[in-house]
Order: sequence, then structure tokens, then C-alpha cells
Amino acid sequence: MLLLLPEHGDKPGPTGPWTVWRVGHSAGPKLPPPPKRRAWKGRFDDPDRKFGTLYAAPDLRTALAERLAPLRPGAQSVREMEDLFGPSGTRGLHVVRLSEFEQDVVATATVTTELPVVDLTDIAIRTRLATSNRALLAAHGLNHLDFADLHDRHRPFTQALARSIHLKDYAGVRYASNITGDACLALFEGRHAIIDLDHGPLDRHLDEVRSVAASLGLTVRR
Amino acid sequence: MSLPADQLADWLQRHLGQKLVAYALGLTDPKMVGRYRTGAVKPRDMVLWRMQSLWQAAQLIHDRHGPDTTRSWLMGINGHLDGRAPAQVLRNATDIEQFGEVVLASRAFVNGEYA
Repeated sequence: MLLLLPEHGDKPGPTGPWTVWRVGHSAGPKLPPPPKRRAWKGRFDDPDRKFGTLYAAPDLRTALAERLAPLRPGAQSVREMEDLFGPSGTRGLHVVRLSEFEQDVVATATVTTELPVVDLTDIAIRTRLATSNRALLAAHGLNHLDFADLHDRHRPFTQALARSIHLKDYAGVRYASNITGDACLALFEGRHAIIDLDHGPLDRHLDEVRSVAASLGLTVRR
Repeated sequence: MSLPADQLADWLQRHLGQKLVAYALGLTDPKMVGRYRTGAVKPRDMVLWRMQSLWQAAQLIHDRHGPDTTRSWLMGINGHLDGRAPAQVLRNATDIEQFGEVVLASRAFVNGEYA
């Protein structure tokens, strides 16, 4: 089932340019990974696996938070493991070892699109989408399109939304990070241009890395 | 690609530690990992499937990053797994789709994909 979206001429979304940040592999910080290496697990990845999606953030701290967040120890898993085997097996889990991120680069670039981006941080846009797609929302157990409805547990819905937005000739979506709540961009492959790319090692931004890690309860070590 | 059970257990124990491996495999005795390693005991099918998925996911992250990141990732809150830790998902996994989810999540981390 396809979602009905506002047509471009009805209420066009933004087209940039945006300055964005991304922490990624040194071989390809500005592109989605090659198809064979993609996980297709992202919130706005194509469920039919026809096009890639590049995720980036207008703010370096958000880009770093997205990179480091999967290393935050899970309270449930840690407690369960400690209950079973004692605390020795969970020591050191909060450490970000910089020497293990030497292949990562922090990239910044200016991104432009000819097609508009759907701004899911805009309550009016979300309300319109929800109103015109009640059946689809209900099929996914949703009542509204609030921020919580666009998060982890509704991934089949957000991926269906991405597919539909792509079919309607949008360049991607602007959405709120699960981690920081700040804006992120999910840009569809082939529908954006990257200029002024600059990238360097994580070390170049050590103060920000330490600060973001600390905010996530993680400790940075060499 | 996979490895025989004794080689899987050997790699997992050396790189992740016996307790984390035991947790992810759904075992109650960490020493069982050592018994798999020596070949003294053969893992049940379900445990073997968990071992294979754990090895696939862990090896990918270990090769790109290293042992500390791999251990933290396995026990970390993962947005691609509904906020559960990969080791926790594997521990409770009973079908092939759940095993595959963890391997895909490891690929997402290596790629630097946002949750």
C-alpha cells in the first residue's frame, strides 16, 4: 500500500543546502555502503532493497552519538549476565577504545538536492500524513505520527514510509535522532549531491568525542 | 561460511571471554564453552546455531574494530534490535530470522548506519 503525500507544489519541503556530519568508514564516508554490504536495517531503508539511504546529521555531536550509542551497556543484559555469572564478565563494557576506531573518519560536507525532503520533524507534515493514511497507520498499530511512532519499534512502518516517499520523488526525509532528538537527514541514493567534502580521523575531534561519549555514559581510552 | 563447533568455541572464547559467550549462547555454565572447545561435548543444534551467528556478527566487528568494541557492542543497547543487546537477542533466539537480525545489526554497526 502506498502512502499519499503532499505533492511538491502543494507544500514543498526543503532542498538544502545543508552542512552535514557523518562518522563512517574511511573508504566511503559520503555514500551508502555498497549493496552487498548493506544491512537494510535503518529506519528509512528501502524494504525492497532497491535504493540505498545515506544517514547524516547537521550537528557533529548527533553524528557521534549515533556512532557510539550501540556501545552503551544495556541494563537488562548486563544485569542478567551478572546475576548468572557475577560482575567479572561485564567489566570494561563502557569503554570506547580509540585505537579500535582508526578506520573511522569524521566527514563533513555540504549536501544539496533538486527534489525536496519531507520534514518529519514538522508536526503539520506528520499530521497530514497521518490523516491521509489512517488505514496504513492502523495496520501497523499506530494512531498518530508522533516522534515515538517513528522510532525503533515501528521499523516496518518507517521503511514502508521511506519507500512511499521515494516513489513520490522526494530526495529523503528530515527526522529526529533516536539518541539525541536532534535533526538527522536520511537521503536517498542518487537524489543528492555532495560538495566540499572534508574528512579526517576521529582524533581530530577528540574533545567532542570525549564529551559525547561521556554524555552516553561511555569513557574514551586510547 | 562457518567453522566446526570446536573452532567456533575456540575463536569465541579467545576473543570474547567465556562468560559473555556463555551468556549469548543461553548457557548456565561458562565452562561448557571450554568443553565445546576441546570437543569433549558437542553443542545442541540450537546452541550451535547461536554459536554460528555469534561468530559471524562478532568476527565482522572484531576485524574492523577490535575485541573491546566487539564485547561492548554485543552487550550494548541496539536500536536495530528494538533496543535489546545483540547477546540478549541471541540468547533468546529460537528461529533463523532472529539469528539473521543480529548478523545484520553487526553489519549496520560496521557501516556506521544510524539507528
